[in-house]
Amino acid sequence: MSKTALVVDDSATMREMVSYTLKQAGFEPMTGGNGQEALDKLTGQTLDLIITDLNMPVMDGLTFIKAVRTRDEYKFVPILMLTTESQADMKALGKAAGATGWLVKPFNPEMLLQVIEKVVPR
Amino acid sequence: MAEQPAATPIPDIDADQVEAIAQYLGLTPETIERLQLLREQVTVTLNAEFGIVAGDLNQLRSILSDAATKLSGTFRVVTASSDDLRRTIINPTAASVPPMLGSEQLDGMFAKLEDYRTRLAHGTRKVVHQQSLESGDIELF
Repeated sequence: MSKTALVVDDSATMREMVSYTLKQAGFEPMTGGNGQEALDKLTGQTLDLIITDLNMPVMDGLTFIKAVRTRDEYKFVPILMLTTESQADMKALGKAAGATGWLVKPFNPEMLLQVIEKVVPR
Repeated sequence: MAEQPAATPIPDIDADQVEAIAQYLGLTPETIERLQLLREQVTVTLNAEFGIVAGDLNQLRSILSDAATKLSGTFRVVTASSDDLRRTIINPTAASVPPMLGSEQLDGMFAKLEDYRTRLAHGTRKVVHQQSLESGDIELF
């Protein structure tokens, strides 16, 4: 059975690129254009991975992660932040919100898959 | 200007043709076959590299596009705020400066401005730069 991942980014191109990379690794990607849109799509289904941008309209990545972590069924889902931000204080905020890892754009698809292998149990 | 002829694909050649070409060029059939193999491998390698570079460029384009959108949004906010401020200042019906803008508040704002200027002068600025496409920052918590 294929694993499911949720990709949240306000850039359609970025969503497509991450989704394409995930498909190569056997994931079935779902997408959201911002935190709120992504939250609306979380209806209790099993999710193996979330990859989210930080700066997005309507609901940013940090608020989204905090909201996801309040839900029991998604408390332990690995969440990777994929963002252009690289400051240590922002990373600390991400960690505090409940992110599992931080990747700075632009991403290397192979690297992303290596990170995913580390955080998503087989 | 004369129209360029359309490129035609090079068909696979059989052993007899290889031998004929080799004879014509003064090369051995093995050399011709190796040249063919080399051409195929160069094509495969270039295709893969092109895909990777195109992917990286697409990401960078997306990042630049995001940045432009955010900059444009910020500019709109600044412009709107500036218009509001101008309307407040030149409004002849306004009885006085709004109560939240007393001299104390203005002094505070100037002090903040001075503080920001100092921080800008001494702080390290984040500049837009292209990161290595081979190794972005990755950190697992």
